[in-house]
Amino acid sequence: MIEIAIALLLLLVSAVASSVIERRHFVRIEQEEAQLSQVLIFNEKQPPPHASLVKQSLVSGSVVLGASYFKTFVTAIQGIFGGRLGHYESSIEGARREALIRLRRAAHAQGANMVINVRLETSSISKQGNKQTVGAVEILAYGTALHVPK
Amino acid sequence: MTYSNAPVPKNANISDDNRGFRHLMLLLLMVVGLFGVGIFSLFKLASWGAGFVPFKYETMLAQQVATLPFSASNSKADPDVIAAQSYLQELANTAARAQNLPADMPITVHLVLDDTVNGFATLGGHVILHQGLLERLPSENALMMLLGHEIGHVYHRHPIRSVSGAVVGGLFVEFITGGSGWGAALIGEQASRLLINGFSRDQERQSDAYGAEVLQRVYGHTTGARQLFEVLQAEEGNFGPRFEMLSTHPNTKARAKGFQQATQHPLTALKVDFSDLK
Repeated sequence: MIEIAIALLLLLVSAVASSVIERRHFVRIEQEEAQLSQVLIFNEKQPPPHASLVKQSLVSGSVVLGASYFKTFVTAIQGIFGGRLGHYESSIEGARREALIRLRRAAHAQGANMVINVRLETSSISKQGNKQTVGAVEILAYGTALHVPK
Repeated sequence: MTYSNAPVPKNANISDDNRGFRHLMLLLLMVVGLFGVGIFSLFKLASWGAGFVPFKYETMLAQQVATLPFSASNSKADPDVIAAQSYLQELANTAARAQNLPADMPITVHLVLDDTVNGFATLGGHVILHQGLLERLPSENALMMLLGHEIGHVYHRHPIRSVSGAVVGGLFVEFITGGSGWGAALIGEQASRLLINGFSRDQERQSDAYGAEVLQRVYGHTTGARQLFEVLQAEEGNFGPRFEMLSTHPNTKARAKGFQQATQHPLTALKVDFSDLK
């Protein structure tokens, strides 16, 4: 009985905490996206014709995302019935945007204002052999930073 | 050529209908429903199927799983205890004969010398009677009702039905929860409850009817049943939870009611004084 009570308490704490953290995260993401709006990102392979190709460099931004206890619990139940995993979708969305922000920040630090050939990659780092450990994924965004005169 | 990044649309990739408290509640309700229906159907199916298991297998199972702790007390060489034990066995045999109990369904009565006010039947036709209950019985008729009731459990295969239901239900829980141990705990709990008395109310009523039949056939009346229920009712008032048997049994008043109309018939005295045994 005590185990069930502890599990319920953890779930409650996790639900409240993850909801607050996620809401704050999205607020910060929007602010940073606005701040870095001068760094443009595209998946186009070719640089713009007037771009300065003197200095190009590879930039990347990566985020490791772990699902909360609450989200894992709800998603495990949802997994019985299938369908969209709304709780994971919001986490992944946040992580993807965060990775792009980090990519832009890296480009901005090098004096670039455009990143072309942007690619996103996701890899699960939660598996050790066949055993599922902590639920976590890495989202990596990378591309080529350029300076494009206005 | 102009280059620009459009602002990221809000929640474009998030399904809002699949989140939130209401969604979680709906999921939990579905899970609990499925789980409940699954466990209930399996329990019922296994209980029903267990009735077809030949009794000799139940006896074998009893030998394997039941380390009968109560048997130890019977090894005492006290002649009074041995006499009391054989008296109980004799009464059980009389009841079995009166009801034409199948020959391959032997009843073995165990007397436990302690104050616990309880009696129960378990796997393999073993009937366990505690001294605490026996010494409160006013007549042989009441004792016969008790024995008849417990033999009724054996005859209707209640112990193996309960165990099978619990095992299959527990395995289901274990399967669903991925070896969490909850299912095993359920099996363990059910098994230990069986040793106290883990039969359903319907099963208790069935056994009451069986006990009354025994009384009718052996003594020609069912006054013993009323006496037994009077004792149980008194104990219920005196001891409450200590009288474990009542926790799962149907309401004693309701059970006694069925026998209230019986007119007073001459009763047979007990041939052993159970309060004297040590």
